[in-house]
Amino acid sequence: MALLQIAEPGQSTLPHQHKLAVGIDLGTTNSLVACVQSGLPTILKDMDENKLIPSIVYYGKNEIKVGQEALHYLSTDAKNTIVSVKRFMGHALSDIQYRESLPYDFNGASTDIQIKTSQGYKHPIEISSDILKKLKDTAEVSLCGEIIGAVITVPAYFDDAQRQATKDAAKLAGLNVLRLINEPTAAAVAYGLDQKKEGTFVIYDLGGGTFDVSILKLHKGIFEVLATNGHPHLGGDDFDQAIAEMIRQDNQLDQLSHEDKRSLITHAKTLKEKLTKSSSAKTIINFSNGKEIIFSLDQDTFLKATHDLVHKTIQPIRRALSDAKLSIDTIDGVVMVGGATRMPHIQSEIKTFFKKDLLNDLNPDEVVALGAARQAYTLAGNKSDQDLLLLDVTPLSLGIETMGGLVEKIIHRNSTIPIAKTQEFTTFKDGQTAMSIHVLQGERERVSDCRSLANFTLTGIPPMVAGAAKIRVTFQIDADGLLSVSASELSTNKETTMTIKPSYGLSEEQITSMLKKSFEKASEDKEIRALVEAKIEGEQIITAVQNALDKNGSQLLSKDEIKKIESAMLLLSSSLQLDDPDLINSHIKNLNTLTELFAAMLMDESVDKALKGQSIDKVNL
Amino acid sequence: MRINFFTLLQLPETFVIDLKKLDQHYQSIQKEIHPDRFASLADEEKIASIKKTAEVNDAYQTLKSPIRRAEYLLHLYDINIHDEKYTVVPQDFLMQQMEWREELEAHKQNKEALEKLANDIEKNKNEIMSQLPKCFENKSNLHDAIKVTRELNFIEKIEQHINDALIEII
Repeated sequence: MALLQIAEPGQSTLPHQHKLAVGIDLGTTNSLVACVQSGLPTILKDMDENKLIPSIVYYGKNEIKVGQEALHYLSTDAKNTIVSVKRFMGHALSDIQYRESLPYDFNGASTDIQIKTSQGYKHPIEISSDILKKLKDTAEVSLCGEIIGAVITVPAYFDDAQRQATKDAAKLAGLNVLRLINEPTAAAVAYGLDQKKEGTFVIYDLGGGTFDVSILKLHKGIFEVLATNGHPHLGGDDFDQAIAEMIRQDNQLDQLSHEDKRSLITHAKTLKEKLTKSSSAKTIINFSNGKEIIFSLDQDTFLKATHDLVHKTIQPIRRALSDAKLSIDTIDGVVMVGGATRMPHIQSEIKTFFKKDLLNDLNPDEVVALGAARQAYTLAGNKSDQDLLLLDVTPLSLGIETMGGLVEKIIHRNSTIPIAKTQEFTTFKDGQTAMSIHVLQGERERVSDCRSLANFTLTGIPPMVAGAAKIRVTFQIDADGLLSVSASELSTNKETTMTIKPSYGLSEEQITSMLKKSFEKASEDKEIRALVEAKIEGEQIITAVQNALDKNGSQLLSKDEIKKIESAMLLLSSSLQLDDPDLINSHIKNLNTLTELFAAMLMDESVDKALKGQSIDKVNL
Repeated sequence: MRINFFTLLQLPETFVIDLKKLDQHYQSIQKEIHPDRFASLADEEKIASIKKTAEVNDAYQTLKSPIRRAEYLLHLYDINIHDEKYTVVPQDFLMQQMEWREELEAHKQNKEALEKLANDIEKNKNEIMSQLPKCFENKSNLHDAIKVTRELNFIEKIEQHINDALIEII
């Protein structure tokens, strides 16, 4: 508890210490890490001066290579070199299309995705965490210090399972996630703050593997997302595939090795990039069997072959506009984000659609990470002159299964998060003590057309006659866009809370065991760090609680409550003398539980305070 | 007990509200209590902040939309417009509904026809909507408020269907 923060929003508890926090753009093809330095967000370079770190992980027998270093294994050891792992995040093996065309050995016995490498089976979350570790190391070397937290960006259209998987990967990489934020929102922050823009903007974000469109209202440092939409599997990669397909057909290349397939795609990508600058391009491909082909491609042919892909982005734009109840002429600007938006025919198509010049003066590869760095800086508690607040939305509706395989929506898409909705249920049989609830995400009416998030059973309902028990279930989406569900039986007030974990994600135990594995390598360091961190946290909390008690304690709490809090503080402060992080943490937890209600009361006080300021402002006007 | 949305956003409990004030109050509260203000702090404060912000978001979204606001006011009078006892709809309105639905089905692929239909319906909606303030002026008009709010609910649904159809047309 650091209630000081309520009194002085945005001010660090340690005023002279600048807290290092980074923004991470964990992309399908490339990843970046950025940090605010001397007031300006900056992309951090790795030791070879690269800003873009390819999202590629190579698992050799005794080594893991990430990024640039992993790149050349693509054409020599495709099986052990994992690319575009973001496409696998939060998915079951059965979700993966064209599995045969991928060079990987999947574990067919598992519903989870597990890829066989020379270092054993790897889960997409582990592979992602290896990329994140590389980014973390890059940042710590570049900044010469330990980072205390990170903001990680995800596609706005990511569902609950994909967000949870991303957060788990960060945990596994030893990163403290300050917030998951949506990529287009991060881009808007970079544009809005750097260029002091105000008004209603569309962010068109076509990355390597995902497409998002968000509509935001920018007003006095508040970034309010009005609507978002997208396509979960559409990006620059698909344009590469389309070119590769053309080369294959033209040259009747049927039986290719995985390495040759990879090399074909690499060449396709090069052609695509060349075509952003000239009207035609040529490449020479050498295959492993000694065959050599020369392939040339002009802008027109490329345009025709990929027109459908470009067009696939239009419908999500229309949906977002419709949900925001806006027409094209009310849009003040269109921001282009993601490397794929460099393709000229995308630019012209979107320009025509909106009848507007596009905003693309910031580097489309970097803008997301830069925005994330801004947000990380603020969230870490560093004081900033810019009062920044992001109000984002949930991209997909959330519902539960009802009679006849239909879905009843509980939280509608594009609701501002955090959001909570409650639903009351009752028993339909005498003496019924359990009830199962099926949670789904998606827009369609049938259960089979939506994504199943979880199927859970509420137990411990006191036996009563049918219809007498009243079970209130609360569905909450937090500021990371993650769902949690809690339930209570109203007549007995029995509460049970559960976190939704989709069956194809990792369980808490799996994460713990993976964490242990990685800890073993540097366990002593970690123990010392854990102790130091616990002591610092304990001290901060004691100061904060004491301050809050001095200020508001006697008004809001009874003598008895104050006494209890004070004795918990005493216990905590005496535990700080001992070198046992677990003991300290348990006393921190204890104190936090006791001050929970106090925190809620202070929150109410803050609401009153906010509006008091408001009415004074009004009087002055 | 759940908190009253009007009280929470410090607005009078009436149908006609100052939307500018609603925005201002909402934004001022958000600046103080949003979870982003507590990101580096302990779990208990994060939880308290998420709970409160979720309430404020719900309140704001409910009061911002005239139809949701009307439903909510009726809810404060213990009236649930989806209750069976209010399901009777006037004959002429029902006929109108069916006409619109038929037209939508007949022109699902015709952009101009759908846009015209959407325009007609919007005019109709605005007309009905303009009756709402009067309905809430005194308690004896509440049956009118129920009728009008229910009609607006129907219209809102068909508008959504037309919009969906329009989006499907390339």
